[in-house]
Order: sequence, then C-alpha cells, then structure tokens
Amino acid sequence: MRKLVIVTILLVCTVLLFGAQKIMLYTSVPTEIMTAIADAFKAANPDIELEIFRSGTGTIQTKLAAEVQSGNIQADVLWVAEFSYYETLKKQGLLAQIDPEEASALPENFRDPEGYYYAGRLINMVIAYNTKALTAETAPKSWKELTDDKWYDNYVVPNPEYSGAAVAAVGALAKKYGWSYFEAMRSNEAVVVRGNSDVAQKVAAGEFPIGMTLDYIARDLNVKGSPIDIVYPIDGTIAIPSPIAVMKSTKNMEAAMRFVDYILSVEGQMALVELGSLVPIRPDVDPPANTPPAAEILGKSMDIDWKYIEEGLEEINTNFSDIMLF
Amino acid sequence: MVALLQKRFRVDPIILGSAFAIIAIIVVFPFTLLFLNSFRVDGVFTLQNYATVFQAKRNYTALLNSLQLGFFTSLFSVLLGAPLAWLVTRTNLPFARLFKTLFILPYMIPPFIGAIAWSQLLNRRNGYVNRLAQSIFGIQGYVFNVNTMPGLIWVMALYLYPFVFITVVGALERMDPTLEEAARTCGSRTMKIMKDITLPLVAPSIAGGALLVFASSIANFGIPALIGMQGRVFVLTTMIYSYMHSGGFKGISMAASLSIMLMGISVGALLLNNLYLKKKQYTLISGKSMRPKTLSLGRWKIPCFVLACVIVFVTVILPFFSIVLTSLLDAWGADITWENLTLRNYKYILFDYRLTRDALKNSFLLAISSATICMILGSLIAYISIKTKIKGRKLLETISLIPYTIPGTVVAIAMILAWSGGFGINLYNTFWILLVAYVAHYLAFAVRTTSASLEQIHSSLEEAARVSGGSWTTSLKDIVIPLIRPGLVAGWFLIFMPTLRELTMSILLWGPRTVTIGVAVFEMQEAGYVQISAAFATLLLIIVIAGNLLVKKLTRGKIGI
Repeated sequence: MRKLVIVTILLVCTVLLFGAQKIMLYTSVPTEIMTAIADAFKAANPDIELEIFRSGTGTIQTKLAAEVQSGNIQADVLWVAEFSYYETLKKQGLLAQIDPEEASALPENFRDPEGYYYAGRLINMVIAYNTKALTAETAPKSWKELTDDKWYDNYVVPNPEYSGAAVAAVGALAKKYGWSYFEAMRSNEAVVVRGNSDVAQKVAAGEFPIGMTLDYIARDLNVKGSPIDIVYPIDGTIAIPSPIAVMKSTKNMEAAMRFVDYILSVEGQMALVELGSLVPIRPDVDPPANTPPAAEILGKSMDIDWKYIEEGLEEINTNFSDIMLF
Repeated sequence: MVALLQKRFRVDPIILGSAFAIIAIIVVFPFTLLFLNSFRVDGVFTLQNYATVFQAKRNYTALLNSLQLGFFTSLFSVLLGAPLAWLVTRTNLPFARLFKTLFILPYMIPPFIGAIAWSQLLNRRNGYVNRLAQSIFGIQGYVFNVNTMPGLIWVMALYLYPFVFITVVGALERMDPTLEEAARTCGSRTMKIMKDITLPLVAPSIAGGALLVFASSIANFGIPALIGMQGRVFVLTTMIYSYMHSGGFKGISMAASLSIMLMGISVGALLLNNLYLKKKQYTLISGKSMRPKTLSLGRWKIPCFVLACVIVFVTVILPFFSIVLTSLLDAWGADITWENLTLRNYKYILFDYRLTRDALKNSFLLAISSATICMILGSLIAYISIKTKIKGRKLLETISLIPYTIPGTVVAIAMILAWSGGFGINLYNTFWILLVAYVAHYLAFAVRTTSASLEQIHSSLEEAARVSGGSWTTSLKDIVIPLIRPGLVAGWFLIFMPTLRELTMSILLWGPRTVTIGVAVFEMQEAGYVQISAAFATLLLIIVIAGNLLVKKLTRGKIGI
C-alpha cells in the first residue's frame, strides 16, 4: 500500500512539474522546419525552454476556442496562417498589445497598426509539381488551368478546415472565379488531403504529379533533394503574411517577447530562410536562392479580400467541403 | 458479540462509498450529460439537434457508410474466419497448431498500423503491389486503390476477422463430436454433415463473432481516418473527428448528436449479440475438450495448406515487410535500390524528433496508471458484486461494464463535455482527461477478469479468517488477494497493452503536452512523412510483440498469443 502511495505521488509530481521560463508556441509551421528554427532560437536563448504544439490552423483554432471556453489557455505565443484569425482574436480581447523592438524594420503592410500582431513570414500558395513526371514547360501555369481535362485525376489540394493558408487560397479563388471553380475541380477528381505539408510530401513522393501547396514547404523539400519544384501561377500567387502574436493570458511575457523579437530580427529571419526556405518579411534579409523577395511576390499576387476571409470563414469551409468532399 | 461479528463482515463503508462515487463521477455523469446535451438547445428539451444532423447530407452519408462498412466487414470476416477455424480444428491440415496462432496474430497488431501498411501496399501510384503489377504486367495506371470503400472493408476485415476465428474455434473445440460421427456412421457424406450438423451448431458463435466485428468496425477510427478520408469515404467516427477538429463550438454539438447515434448502433449490436446468443446457445456446446476425430482432407490437403500459407502471407508477412521496407527508405516513393536504403528515419525518431520521447513517456505513464487504477477499482467492484449482499451491487457492476461497449470516440466526447470546466473541474488538454477516459473505457476488463477469479473462491475461506478474529482487510490481504493474483496480473496486462497504443480516444483528447504513441504515429502519417511514420510504427510493433511475449511468459501462456 505504501509503495502505491509513493508511486502515485511520483506520478503526480512528474505531471505537475512544469517549471518557469517555459513558453508554449502554437504554430502551423511544419514540424521538421519548426524544430530546426526552435533549435536555432534555443542556441541564442539557452535560458528559455520553447515548447511547441504543431498543427493546422483550423485545428489550433478549435483547440484554442475550447481552451478559452474552459479558461485554461496554454498557448503563450501564436504563429499560424493568416491575418483574419488574428483580427477575430483581437476583437475577443485575447491578444496582448506588444511593441517588439525589431518591428520598426517591417514594412507597413506586415503589421497590425494597433500592434497586436506582426507578420513573421510570408507564405505563398503555389502550384507544385513532381519533376520526374513533369517539367517547368509541361506543368500547369495557372490556377485556372487546373480545371482543364488534361489534369483529370492528377492533383491534390489541402483542406481549409485544417490549413489556414488554404482558407485564404480558397477564399481568394472563390472570389476570383466563383464557387464553380471548385465544382470543376471536383469533376476533375481533385483529391483533398489534410494540410500543405501532406500535399507537398505526396507530390514529392510521386503519389500525385501536381499539388496546391505552400512555396517554402516545396522549396525546402527541393533543397533537401526531393523531385519537386514550384510554379508561381500567372493568375496570381496567393501571398499570405503569416502573423505572430502573444496571448494576453501569458504568464511569461518577457520570454514570449524574446521569441517574437527573435523571429522578427535579422538573425531570426535568416534562420527562416536557411532552415525552412521561407520568404523573409524584412527587406534587409535576402530571400532563398531563385526566389523573388517579398515585395515582388506581393506585387504579382492575387487580391485577397481579408474582410471576406474573416467574416466568411464558415461559408468558405462549408462550401468547400460540400463541393469537394461530400 | 453478534453485532461485533456482523460489523467485521461488512466492507469498509468508506471504501464502499468511494467505489459508488467514482463510478458515478467517471461513468454515469459524463454519459448522462452527453445524452441530455444531445436533446438540449439553449436549455430547452428538443429533438432539433437530431433534425439538424440529418439535414446535412454528409452526416447521413457517414451513417450509411458506417453501416455498410460494418456489414461487409462482418460478412468478409465470417467468410474468412469460419472456414479457417474449421480447417485448424477439424481437419488434418499440416501445422494446424502453428496456423491457429498465426491466424490470431492480426488481432495483436494495432489496426491503424495495419492501415499504414496497406496504404503503402495499395496506394494508387506508389503502392508496392501496384508498382509490382506495373513492372511485371506492364500495366499503365493502377490496379488497386486502397482509398475506397472496398479498400476500407479489406483492411478492416483483415484485422478484425480473428474475432470470428476465435469464437468459432472455441465452439468447434467444445462441440460434441459424436453427433458428427453418428451421422457419418449412418452414411452421410461430409458435405451433408457440415450442412446439417456442424454449421447449425456453430452458427450462434459465427453470429456472435460477426456482431463483435460489426461493433468493432463501426467504432474503429484509425482505419477509416488513414484510408477513407483521402478517398472521401467518411464514416461516423471520422465525421465526429472532423467536427471536433474544425467545427468550433457548433462542431461539438454536432459531434455529440452523431456520438449518440454511433453509440446506439454499437450498443444495439452488442445487446443483440447477448440476446441472440443466450437463446441460441445450444447446450451441446458446453462439455470440455472431447477430441473430435479429424477429417482427412485427402487430395485437398495440399491446396488447403497453400491457401493457409497465402492467407498468412497476406495478413501478416506482407504488411510487416511493407512497413519495415518503407521505414528503411530514404524517401517514400523512391526506387527500391541499395543506395536509397538508410537508417536515417530511425535516427530521426529516436534522437531528433522531440515528440518521440514525450509520446513514449506519456503512453507508458498512461498505460501503467490506467491499468493499475482499473485493477484496484475493478477488483473492488467485482468483490462487492460477488462477495457482498449490498443493495445495488449488480447495478454497480453493470454500469462499470457499459463504457467498454461504447465506442472510444463517444467516450472521448463525453469526457470533453464533462471535464472542460463547465462543472468546476477542468481537465481539458491535460494528462488527467486521458487517464479518466482510459480508466472508464477499460474498467470492464478489470471487473471481468477479477470476478472470474473471485467466483472460484468459496466464501468459507474468508469467513474462517474473520471468525478467527481477522479484520476485513486482513482476510482480503491474506486470503483473497493471493488467490486471485494470477487474475489480477492478467487483467493488468489486458488493460496495459491496448492503452499503450490507444488512438481513438487519444486523438480527440490529446493536448500540446500530452501526445501519445498512437497520436504521434498518426500525425506523422497524416503530415505525409510516410517513411518516418513507418519507422515509428516498426518501433511500436516491436514494443507490442515484446510486451506480448512478456505477458505470455508471466501468465504462463494463459494470455497472449
């Protein structure tokens, strides 16, 4: 009996022992890339222990909503897909108003004027193709082309219910071409998988010749030697500034701010470029090889009605899944 | 003196009270809440939730898909399991004993690992079988596509048919062979004996096994999630998962209503099983182990042997080989050459991937604590039910057995509703919510194994101890526990093994700090890191096999394969 009591106490202790200077980051940056960035951060800030919960934006939104409801918010820093979600959180009073030292280096359009969130990376929805199956010449050149019979049963797209970048992309494409665009995709037997890294992996592995995914995930695989390359569609790349913010409920503001500052700094942005092939948001940091800088990508990108993305989130998800999944 | 004696005979009221209280808190409260919630909108009793559920075509489709999957999986399992059971028990099939073990083996493999293996084998463009078919027969395109309803049924049946196999083997072994012999003496041909005597006698067991397969297949999450979703085949469990992961707050009420439906079907199937079996259980099938004369297969001996080998190859060897091969590949989809083989994936999961360590730690901690808590609580309930005359004792036992018949997905939803802070206790995202769910779901194993052992102890032993002045605790410690120890050990492992690799409940309950082994493998696979998830799956298979061997050794062959 005594042994049992001791074991129970030990169990309780192991579970409850979560010390200070730990911050929890909720992010949609893929695990492998995020782990590398976290290691770089840790090397520069050995006194902070960064814990990571990695999932799709949709899943994180649901998780966070439940945490808010139950009054037990575990996230300190939030770094997921796109602006509209942060606007929602800001209105709910869940974000801290912050003024990171490094923020002054960001262009105007990469931060919230009221200081609740700042773009930490620029992610771009593009068309990826398997280089064993297709070449730069034969790969589709535009989003519109994906509805062509030629690509019947040949491509895979992410699910907006999981991926925040896909919400922005589906919203933008639906505004530009109407929902009939997705009906045409469905007739073309487009396969829906969970997120962008799943799409990129499947294209790299040859399960599908073509996929709709984020530029850096495909580029990162390409750099590591996988047979995958990307096309910036001529009807507009969907460029998404992906914000970082601190939760108002954090008990560790200092450490959280140090992480935000690190991501926005030259050093942090260089780490993103090097370790994740991401497009930097600072004009003073060079983009990855063969990649245009943020300003150029944004210049040629598709218009995104962020107001629609924010208010029409449910409509986007429901329409997409009704057309593409059921 | 009499009063004193009576006092000694009573179970400590505190312990007794706490058993009732714990059951009320972890079982009665969450499920009642789930049930009531599904009928409530803004505090008013209504059927509106169910109306809403059926307005959406997707829910309707998911329900029909679940039923279809359950039905065909049962059918396929019977076609596979029943003849194999007959082959290994009643014929002169070579190596029948070995085959008997091998045919049960898929039961040991976590179904989601099976799903991972088969999605590697039958994937459209990259699947090993399709690639082989392309290179041998020069086929353009693909032969098999696992991401379809037939694919789902195939994989599900391969992992669930042992239910039918085990029940039919049991029935055949216990069946009185003289009936068959009598028929034979009267000149009946083998086929006629089979049709008129053997089949009717084992039919209840076949039906029982089929209903178990039905209930398990509609409750399964891993296989439809990893294989079905990509092919747009949604069933109730995956639909509930989608609502929970992306539906915000509207999602949870939809999930709750669908959960009640899933629970209804599953519990219905198991009730039918109990009713049907109770009525149809022929008394003939009771006596113990009369060695029936084995039937000579004659010229069918070799074909049957080959068939048995093929089945073992397909259900066990092929999937295992596929997972190990994939785990050694540099990249999923790469050509299989020496240059593309690597141990990098193992290095990654063992040393570089942060979640591995957390997952192993959490899963072991959860499995050990839930098995221990279940055994303590379960044996207490079994003791109260069998050894005391307290009012409500049978009810207590029945209630403790219910959660196991409820699909894990539903258990998880009930726990989220009950323990997310709405009622003062907030366990959301913590280790504790997983623990409570595991304990509630697997408590039945503890109650069953302990009551089986307790029933064999005559109460005179205990009475003797108490009459000679020993307290209740003493009699428990010195008499009861030593006698039921083998049962306790067996029950502990019966709970430890499945909780270690649990996926269905964990995928809905895990939080940022509580990833489990099942969740880690699932997440890897869903993120497209096929070769890494294969390495993790291999690691898990090694743990499962080692655990099984250990259990077999510890229980002296009573449990384990």
